Amino acid sequence: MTRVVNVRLLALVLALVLTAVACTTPDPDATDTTVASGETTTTTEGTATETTTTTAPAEPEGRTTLEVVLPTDPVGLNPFPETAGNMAVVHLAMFMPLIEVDENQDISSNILESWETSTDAQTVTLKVRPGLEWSDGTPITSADVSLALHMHLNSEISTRAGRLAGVAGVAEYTEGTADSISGITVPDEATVEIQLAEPDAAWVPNWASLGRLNSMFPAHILGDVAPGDIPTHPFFETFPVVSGAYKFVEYVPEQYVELEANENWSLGEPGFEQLFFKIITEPEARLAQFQTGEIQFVDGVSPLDVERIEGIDGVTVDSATGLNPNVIGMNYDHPLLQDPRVRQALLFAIDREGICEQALLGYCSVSATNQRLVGLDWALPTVAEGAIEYTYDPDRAMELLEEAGWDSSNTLNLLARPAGAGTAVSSAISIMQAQWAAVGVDVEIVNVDVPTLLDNLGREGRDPDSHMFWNAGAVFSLDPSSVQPYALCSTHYPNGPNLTYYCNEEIDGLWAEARRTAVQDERAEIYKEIYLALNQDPDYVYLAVLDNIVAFDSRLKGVKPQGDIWATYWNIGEWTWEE
Amino acid sequence: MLAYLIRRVLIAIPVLLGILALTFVLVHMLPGDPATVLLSPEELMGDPGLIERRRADLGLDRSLPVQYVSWLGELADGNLGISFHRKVPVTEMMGPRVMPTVVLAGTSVAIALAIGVPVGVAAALRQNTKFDYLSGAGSMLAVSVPTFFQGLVAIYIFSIWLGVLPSGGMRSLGVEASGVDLMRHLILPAAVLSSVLMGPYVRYTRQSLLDVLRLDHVVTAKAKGVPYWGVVVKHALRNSLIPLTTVLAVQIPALLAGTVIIEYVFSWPGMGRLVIEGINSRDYPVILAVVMITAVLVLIFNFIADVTAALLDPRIRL
Amino acid sequence: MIRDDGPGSRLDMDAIMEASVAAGEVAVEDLRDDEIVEGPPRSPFKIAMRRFGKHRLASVSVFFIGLLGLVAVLAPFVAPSDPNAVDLMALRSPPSADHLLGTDSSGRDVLSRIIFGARVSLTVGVAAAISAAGLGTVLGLIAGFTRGVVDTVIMRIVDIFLSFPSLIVILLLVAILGPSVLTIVLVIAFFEWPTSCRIVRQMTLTLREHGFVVAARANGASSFRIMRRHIVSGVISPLTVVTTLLSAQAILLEASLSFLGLGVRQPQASWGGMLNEAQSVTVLEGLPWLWLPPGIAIAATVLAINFIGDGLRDAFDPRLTR
Repeated sequence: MTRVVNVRLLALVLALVLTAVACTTPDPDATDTTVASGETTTTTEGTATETTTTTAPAEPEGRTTLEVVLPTDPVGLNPFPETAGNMAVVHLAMFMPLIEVDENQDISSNILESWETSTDAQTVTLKVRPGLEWSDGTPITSADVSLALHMHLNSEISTRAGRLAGVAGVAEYTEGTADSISGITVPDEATVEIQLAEPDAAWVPNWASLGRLNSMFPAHILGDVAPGDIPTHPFFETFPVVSGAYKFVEYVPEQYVELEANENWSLGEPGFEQLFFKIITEPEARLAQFQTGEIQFVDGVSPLDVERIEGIDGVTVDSATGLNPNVIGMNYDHPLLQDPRVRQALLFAIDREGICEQALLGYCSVSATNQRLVGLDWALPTVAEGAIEYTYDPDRAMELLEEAGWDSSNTLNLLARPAGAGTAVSSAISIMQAQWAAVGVDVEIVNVDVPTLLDNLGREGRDPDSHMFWNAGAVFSLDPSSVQPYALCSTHYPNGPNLTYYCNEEIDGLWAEARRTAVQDERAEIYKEIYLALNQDPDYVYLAVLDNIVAFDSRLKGVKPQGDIWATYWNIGEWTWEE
Repeated sequence: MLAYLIRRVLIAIPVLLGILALTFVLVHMLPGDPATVLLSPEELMGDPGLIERRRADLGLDRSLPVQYVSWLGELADGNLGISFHRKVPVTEMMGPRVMPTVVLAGTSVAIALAIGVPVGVAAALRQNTKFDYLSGAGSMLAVSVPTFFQGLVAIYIFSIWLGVLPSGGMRSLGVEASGVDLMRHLILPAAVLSSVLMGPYVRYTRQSLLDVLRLDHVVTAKAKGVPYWGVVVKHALRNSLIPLTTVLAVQIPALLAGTVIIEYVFSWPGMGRLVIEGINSRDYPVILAVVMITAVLVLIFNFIADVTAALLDPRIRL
Repeated sequence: MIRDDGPGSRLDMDAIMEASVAAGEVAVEDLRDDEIVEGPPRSPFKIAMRRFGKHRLASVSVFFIGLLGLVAVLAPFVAPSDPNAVDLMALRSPPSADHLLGTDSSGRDVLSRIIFGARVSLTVGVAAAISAAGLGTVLGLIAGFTRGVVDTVIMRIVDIFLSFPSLIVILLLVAILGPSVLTIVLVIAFFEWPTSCRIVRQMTLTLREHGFVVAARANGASSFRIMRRHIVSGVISPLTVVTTLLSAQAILLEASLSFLGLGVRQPQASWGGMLNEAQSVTVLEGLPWLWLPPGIAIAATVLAINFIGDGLRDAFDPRLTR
């Protein structure tokens, strides 16, 4: 370690001297110990960068610091506030999630060996992998798993409790009448049993789909802390003990999160001594910093930039089929949109395939039957089973509008912030607007920010002039039931995420029935029925699912891009640097 | 002098209070509920009391006048409230943000003065020459191109094409913070911001120098045989700088506003980005704090400009 | 975004306090000239206009802006195609015979959007500047004429607005009102009136003391007549300068707001909005037809307006010898 430090110091001095000598100051990374020859910066020959790097052979083994992008400020790293979603991206490097999803959209876990749901779908048995340790050497056991579940299920402190609902005895625990959740038992050091209040075949997949949010914290530190005091416990300021590849060093708001290697990581040796998550909120600044070598990995690359980035020497661009659909919600109970034929017409009127191919350059996928689900074909009705394919058909759209008695003097307001959505999506919206106009539907794009949008959609503030809204959706790839909260009569915003106010009591019943049905073939039938109803009576336009495009220095190995834009760093512990 | 200074300070107090009151009202007129903004709709499931609890936590369940008075009360104690979004005292958040903005603004003004004044002087001394026209047109062009566009072009040329300067941020990571490193990060944003400021400096310096050179005592001095440069430096330049101090003062609010855009383009960690984030997340205390701090800065700089003008010009009675 | 408030060329206290009034002060000097004070002004405006005509850049600029205005008014006839018509098969296509300036990311004709965008920019510039100047004039006249408490209150409000970090509050207002042309005009008017208010008040106060106003009053002229006859003609020149410069600022502000995603509503074409779509290195590097036309349009228009302002200022300033 001392040697390394000395080498770094030397490099630093060297670089500083060089900086001082060369009047034109070189690339900022020149002062970075880890600069290797042939930076990614180069679009022209003979930049100052190269001069410096070739004359500073201080780090022959290669890079020991990795700088990656964090597109949103995590706003602290405490996992309990409502902003935890951004924070959790960093947690992926520090704490192995209890259960998560891999790059093939299969459930996976570094902590658990197995997760079995019983045939009656009412008991889930978890087995902890043997030999895992926290960074301080304490073994990881079922006690840690149980604590994590207790934390995530407690709605007083956790914002994900609602999404994990269904475990027996949670209410008593949350109210304080029980010391622990009766449905969670720990028979031995390696086993946890979860008792569900009702049979729920989808509980495990829905749990796993929270992925990065399923962090697990050490029970030997937090086990005796009163549940209400956990969020403010000093552990969440310094994270002295971790389970993942990197340990916490420092968080500087809106600048970076600094981590260092966890030498005691159970799964191997982290690839870098230092890991920086650089917070860069402006997409253009992200790419620029990537190009100048200030960061070595960037995700969320716009399709429009792919060709240029690919053209840079030493850069690899990779992508994964996306999972977050861009959607246009249609206010289901609005008088102008009540007739399903009007909503169908809005779908037929736009060329989603064409938009995907042209405006998004093909880095996207479109659901022909306009379903939110991605990839779970076993649960979706086919055309033969009565599903409508909403391929571009302006004539059909006009026909349907005619049948529905559409008055072309009406104007529909589409609430969106096109500029914030990125140029590609912004142009997609313009194209749709023109295509709707072509069939006689005048759509006005109302530029609002997210708080205003939510305000307009809430029950009391629901603006009669808000007909449609643009939204970037969440991930729906693991289980067909994940769409349920978006389509229930009881989850109308702000009681849940049903923003369109879709409501069909018959469907509500089917959702519940499907979850109780443990046999997959039987569940499939029920789901097909549900999704057929959603297909014929659509409340959303599922425009397209954008691919998650990442770009990185080709010397960075081990990157496995994920469709879920939030899970890009799911395996960052395995990333290494090879010259 | 003292009486004048005191009077200036006393005038500033109602101005500041007015700004605060107006901003407070505006902030509360923003559509959207801070209690729900940060929650994703999924998180609202199964907990109907959540929104009410959060409103109470944030102190939003009280009436507007009560909130205003309690905010002023906290302000009197040197408290700026707790950020809705980050859950930390706003003073703590503002601390590291004020300096970057001040450094950026200060450097820009310094660069603009260092280039603008000499160019203005040269233009005045060589009135109606090519240089004069070019500097006039150039400074006009600089204020006519939107700052964000200048910023993008600068990033493209210097960071990406030539690769000589970092494109954003305030320091390189993984190394000790150093003055050299800060300067390298500062060059582009400060240069772009200063190009906008420079135009007026060139014009004012030129114009007022021309005016002063025509004044009697200057003409007399020249007639008496005082060397040309002596006249320019000793008699003319000093007087011609007085209007410039005023220009500086008048520009301050606009300068601080200009930094908002520059900070956005160059990921500069100053107050500007904080306020955009504050508005987007309906973080009332943060918005109010930024407005207050900028307003105070404006008032301070105005005050300094007044005093400087007074010191420079003996004819102003204080 | 940076204010440019006219030259501060006088050395007295008032000029120090209000650099922005400087242009106005100059006009007062016009009035002090003997030929003018003797009777009703023998049109210093005409004199100024003659001088303005000699300012070559300003004259060219007037021609340019005039032409632009004409194009904007006749946009539907001048534009080669519908500015909002998308063509999925021709996204981001380079300039060609079909599209002289190429197409944008939605396949819309760039030239047509530039032509229609002139409408937005000029509307924003003119409407915002005139409303700001109008509001400022009314309040300035009230302040100057009533003096006393009303004057103090108005001037304190002016101080408040001049110390406001305006862009921040403009962002707030846009978030409240929602982005649109009207919003942009309103917020600019709301924040830029104090400059003209100060000028008008200053002018009113100065003129009140002048012999001809005192004389007119002694002769029994009503306040209104005095105001109309003498003061309006006195303030008109500095106001013209300020209003001109304001309209340049307004156009830049529209561009900046568009950059922050708060511009006019889609699909309406605006130069700022077009430039906003071009804010990527990929576009800068490979698709110059997306950013050069709106960039040049904004720069040229703002430059022209600034030159006009400059020319007007010179024309109204008898000491200038350019």
